[in-house]
Amino acid sequence: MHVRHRADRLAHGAESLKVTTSPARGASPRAVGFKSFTEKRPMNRIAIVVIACLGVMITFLLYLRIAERVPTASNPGEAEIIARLDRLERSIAQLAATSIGAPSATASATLAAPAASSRSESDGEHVAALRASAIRDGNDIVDRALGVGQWTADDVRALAESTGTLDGEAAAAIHARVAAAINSDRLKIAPSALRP
Amino acid sequence: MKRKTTAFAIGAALTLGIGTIAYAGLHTMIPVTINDPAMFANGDVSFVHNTPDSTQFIFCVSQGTSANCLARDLAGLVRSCSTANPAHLAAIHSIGTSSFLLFQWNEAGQCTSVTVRTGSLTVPKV
Repeated sequence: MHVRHRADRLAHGAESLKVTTSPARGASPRAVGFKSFTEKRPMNRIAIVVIACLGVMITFLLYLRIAERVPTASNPGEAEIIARLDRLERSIAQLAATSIGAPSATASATLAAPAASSRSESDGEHVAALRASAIRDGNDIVDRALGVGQWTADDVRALAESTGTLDGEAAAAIHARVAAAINSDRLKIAPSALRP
Repeated sequence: MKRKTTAFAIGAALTLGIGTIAYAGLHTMIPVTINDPAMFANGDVSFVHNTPDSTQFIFCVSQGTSANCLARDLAGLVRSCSTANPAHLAAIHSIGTSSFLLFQWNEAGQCTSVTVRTGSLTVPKV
């Protein structure tokens, strides 16, 4: 059976040889030549397979060599350091992803810094706007009181409310305007303003 | 009867004497004093509180990081100053009923100095 099979194959090879010696129209002579080369000598096919196998083996060996270069711990101290570095890398990646709202945890940590600073800048602008508004309100209250020439309990309350969010320096600056007006007798204190 | 009366008199005298000794010591009784040219006001907190008039006052109001001081003398003159100076604030926060308070101001209404003295010198509030 086996012998018959081989005979068939040889016969088929001979046919092929016949075909290749008279190539079909449009077929490249070079392709025909390669086909004929491989089909004419089955040993060549075996050599190609062997070379391919060798290639795969070499690639695998190279992979193993590269894998060996990945840091591995040779002692417990080194293992601890490597574990720490891994944790640190993961933390940085997570932080970066959280800060910029990126879905990928592998986002660069350097992207997180500008995002955080732009957010703090906008927060700073918001705080500055609130502060400016409170100072404006406080000065408006003082201006109104100066127009009337009297400092009342309502003024005291309103000024306390508007300066409540201000820092000491800003609040004191507005109160100093009241004090200066009192000291130069431009503002009279209403009895109600003395009640707590 | 006569002996009883004498004993009562001696007892009363001793009691009064002891009482007088209990309130002895140097006391200051400083009403609100405003010196406009020198730009300062001062007064003993409790003494001013005890004066029979309802005109004088001297106090400071603290908002924590800023404060104002205000005083009015018997003539009705009112003077004030404002500060955010931490040293002034510390002094203001130490004011008690037995304190003497002095504050100075500038043209801008800012406190230039705040002095608080607390101790035995002032009379107690009544």
